Amino acid sequence: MMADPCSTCPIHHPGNLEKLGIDMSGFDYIIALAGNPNTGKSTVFNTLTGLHQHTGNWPGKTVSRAEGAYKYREKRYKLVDLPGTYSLLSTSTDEQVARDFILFGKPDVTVIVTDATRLQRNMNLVLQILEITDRAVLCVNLIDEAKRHQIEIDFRTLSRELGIPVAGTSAARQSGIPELLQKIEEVASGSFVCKPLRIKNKDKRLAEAIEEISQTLHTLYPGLPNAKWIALRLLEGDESIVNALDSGQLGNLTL
Amino acid sequence: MNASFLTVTFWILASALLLFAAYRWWFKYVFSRKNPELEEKTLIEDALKHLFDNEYKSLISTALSLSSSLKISKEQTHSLLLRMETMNLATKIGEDQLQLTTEGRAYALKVIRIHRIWERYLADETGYHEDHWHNNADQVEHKMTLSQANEIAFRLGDPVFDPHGDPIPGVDGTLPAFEGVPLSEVTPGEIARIIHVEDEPLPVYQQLLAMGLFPGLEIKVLQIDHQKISFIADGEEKILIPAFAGHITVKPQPYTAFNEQKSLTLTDVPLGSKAIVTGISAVCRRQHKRRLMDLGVVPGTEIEVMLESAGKNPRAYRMLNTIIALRNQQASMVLVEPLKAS
Amino acid sequence: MENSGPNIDQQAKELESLMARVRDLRWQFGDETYDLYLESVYDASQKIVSAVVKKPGETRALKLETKIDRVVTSKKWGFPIMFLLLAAVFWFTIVGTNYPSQWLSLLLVDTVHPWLKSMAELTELPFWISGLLIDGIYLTTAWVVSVMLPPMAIFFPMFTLLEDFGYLPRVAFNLDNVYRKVGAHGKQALTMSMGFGCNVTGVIASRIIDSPRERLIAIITNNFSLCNGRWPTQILIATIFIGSLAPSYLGGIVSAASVIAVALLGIFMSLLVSWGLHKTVLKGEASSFSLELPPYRPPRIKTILYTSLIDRTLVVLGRSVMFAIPAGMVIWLSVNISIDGKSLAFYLTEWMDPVALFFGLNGIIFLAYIIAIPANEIVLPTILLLTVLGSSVSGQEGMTMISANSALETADILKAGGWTLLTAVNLMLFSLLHNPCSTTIYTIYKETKSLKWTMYATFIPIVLGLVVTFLVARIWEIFG
Repeated sequence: MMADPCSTCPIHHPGNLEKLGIDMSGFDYIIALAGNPNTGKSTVFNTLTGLHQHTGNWPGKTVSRAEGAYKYREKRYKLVDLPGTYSLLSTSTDEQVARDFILFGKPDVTVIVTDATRLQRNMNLVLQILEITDRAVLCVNLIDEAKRHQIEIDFRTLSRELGIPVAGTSAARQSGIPELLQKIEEVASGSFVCKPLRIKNKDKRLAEAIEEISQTLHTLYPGLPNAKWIALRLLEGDESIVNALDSGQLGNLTL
Repeated sequence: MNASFLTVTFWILASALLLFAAYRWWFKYVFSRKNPELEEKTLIEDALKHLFDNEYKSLISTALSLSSSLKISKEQTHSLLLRMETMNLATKIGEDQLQLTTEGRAYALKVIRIHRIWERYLADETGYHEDHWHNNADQVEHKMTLSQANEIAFRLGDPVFDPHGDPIPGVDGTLPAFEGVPLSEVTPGEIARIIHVEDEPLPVYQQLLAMGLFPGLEIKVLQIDHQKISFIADGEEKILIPAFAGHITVKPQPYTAFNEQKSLTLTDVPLGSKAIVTGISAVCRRQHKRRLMDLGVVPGTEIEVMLESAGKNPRAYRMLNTIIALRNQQASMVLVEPLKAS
Repeated sequence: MENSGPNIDQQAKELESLMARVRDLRWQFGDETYDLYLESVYDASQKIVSAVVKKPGETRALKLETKIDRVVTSKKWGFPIMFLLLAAVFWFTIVGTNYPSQWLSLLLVDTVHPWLKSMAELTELPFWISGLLIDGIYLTTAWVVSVMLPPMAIFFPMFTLLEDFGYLPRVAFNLDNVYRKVGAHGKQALTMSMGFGCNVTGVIASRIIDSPRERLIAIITNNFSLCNGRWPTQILIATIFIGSLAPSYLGGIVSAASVIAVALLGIFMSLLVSWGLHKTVLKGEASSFSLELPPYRPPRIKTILYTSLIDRTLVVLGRSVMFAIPAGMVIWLSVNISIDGKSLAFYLTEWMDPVALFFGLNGIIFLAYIIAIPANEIVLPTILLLTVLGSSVSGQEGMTMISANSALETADILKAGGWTLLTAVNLMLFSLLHNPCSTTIYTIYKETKSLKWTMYATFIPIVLGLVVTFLVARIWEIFG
């Protein structure tokens, strides 16, 4: 066998990507795909896996979870397309599925797909996801549309502010995909260490309550990565979190 | 030919009617059959609730208060109390005073938990109107098991308050200490938040609902005397007779800035104009409120009225650079401050 | 990973006291936690976005979008545009179906079928094997393909085009007023539109409705969207019986109009039933309705073709073929098993005829609908095969006679079988108003997890269908 000539190519060579469709055997990394509805999440999924998830221009089109795989630079990635949600806090089934997967499915990287023309709306979910996980990549999709609307985005500052890599893509037109793959790889392999932004609570009483509970959580489960978020979930009455603590699903995560 | 068809038509219609009647009768029979066991259980549980309610509000229960609350005769009350004493649920102290035993209190809390969780469920997940909640929950509480109720609570995110503002007892039967004072006992000039609107009796509750009073609403009391109580709520002066005011529990909020003006809502903003969100009305049910907030309806967001459908309901709004259609019922819960057209 | 025994006990105890503390705090905060937290989140994102995004004022692209939106949702133009688009999609489907259907039938039925038969004779296959395989299974499948493929291959791409462009949410916006008045959710307009393609997709799409009550209404009434499986029946019957009443140059338009009328009746019925459910078994107030109107996006032709042809057309066609195979066997058997020289099908239709005639239909149609419970698309082939049988004695001959298939000859066959204009009209109505196909019923059960609601969804349309056809038959009698 000859050595793969592509392994030495610059990243812009699309030949580094091999779409594996539904062949998810022997993967090296699990990648979760999260984002608001109608941000072109399914298009990103289809572009990477070569599958044909339904896409449609109305929110909520993807009503179930889809899985696929791709190979990039000799590593196999399993890609899980989560249902599109506005938030991760509600009791609706969609949000529960997305939340549970990011929390318990232990993805190596969570790719958050956003719409470049409505970054502010999408940022709400981005910040919530960064509360849960340390390993994320922001995919700012639909940049072609943003250009059409003369919107300019400073990706560098955005990446610095959020503490995670940012890639601008236009999945429907196949542009920006190599950068996205590269950034995913960097986080998955650990060559980029994320320092995700954590939200400061404006309300003093709530901030104190969260601080108090997360302190106790820390003494109970030393090294818990997202104690503050779990404290918030506890105050929200999320019993599945309690069960997870009980059964050690969360506590042992760090041992 | 025609005649025979008419005859057949007649017979088909007649038999359909008959079938329908039979079905209704069967339905009624199955569902209204008296069940003596359930009836007794209901009576006991209702009595426990009465005793607990008085205890919680530091009031005294007597056989008389019980019989008037349950609307049963003296004799029935007497035998009910005997039954409860043998079951070790309640005891008599002194002449007439009734008290719950530890078992009785735990039992009462269990029933209350089921009742309030079910009300929360009806409010959050179904489209039933407010005045159905209580009556429906009054029936369900005697039939549902605690584990069923816990399962519902789990799905709802373990709520701690019912839609009337009452705390829901915890799984282990804990309940926070009673807070708040009846509206009739607030000092004039004080600002307070309604924390509970009593849902019994129904006509009074309906009247209070119709006046737009609900838990979470902030009011400023103007005047109190033995004839009437007047206060400002949502920019309007409202008047209640003291008997009705006793059905409302409030918690004084001395440090809150009170807005005496009627707040405008999104429905007041004309097509093409902009407004800034100042808040979401307290009447908005929890799930709906979350939905709105997820869409970007939080204080400070700028909203522009973009489109009106044929009946002016729904309308579409641009918020955070997205166009979102809302029915007027939702939009009327979004409190705003209109922006002057520049 | 390993915890020692006492450590775990200790931990459990501490967790318990933590939970008690959490509950105390929750009683203090009430439901406010969420609001307070989310406000902080919005605050933070506002800061970040204002630092990194530079946005011009109103760009031309944005102004154009607003303009389009103002027109397609306006009082004056909103409904006419919607109606015209719907009519255009249907009209293109009906008109465009004609020739491809004939070519396919020429190929599959007139050419391949006789060839298969002669092959069977050459290899001296026993009568019952060649009959079951070639006259039963093959012929029914060929029929289904030639009748179904063209309308789907035309309808789905056009529909997907509208979907991809972003028009469907505007439809929901326009119609919400009506849906609100009948106590249903505005997004039901979306699920209804999906139902025009296939009721299974429509039922699954109902997941976008959060409120359980309104979701049930959407699921139960989805069957009133005339799905692709029923289009061919409508189109063929309309062309034969209604289009032929008009002068030939108007035939296409008249038959298209009659099919559109049936589809509109379906929409009306879905609203009526929604209202009925809202007033009786699914009482309640309208829940919250918020619908994002996404920006218009230039359609991507490749994706549209893939989605509509591979994902939708082939999937639906594949399913119908799966059901056509056993149905073909049943039809052939019922035609060829005879008792006292008369076939099983003959007895069954004879037996159902009096009742069916009372509803302005006939026994064959009833029998066909029973055989076709698995898939609506095989109704018409079944009817034709059974009708042909009625006019000839031997099932064998009947099966082959169907090969001669063009609209005119089909008309002759049906008229010979005693069909009138009333039969045709009522068949069109009954095709709209009858039980959902078995796949849809199964999907409804999966989605609702309730036998009760599945039963409602199954029997409401059938009862309505019988009532409507009955009334039409009676009115026909009075004026006819």
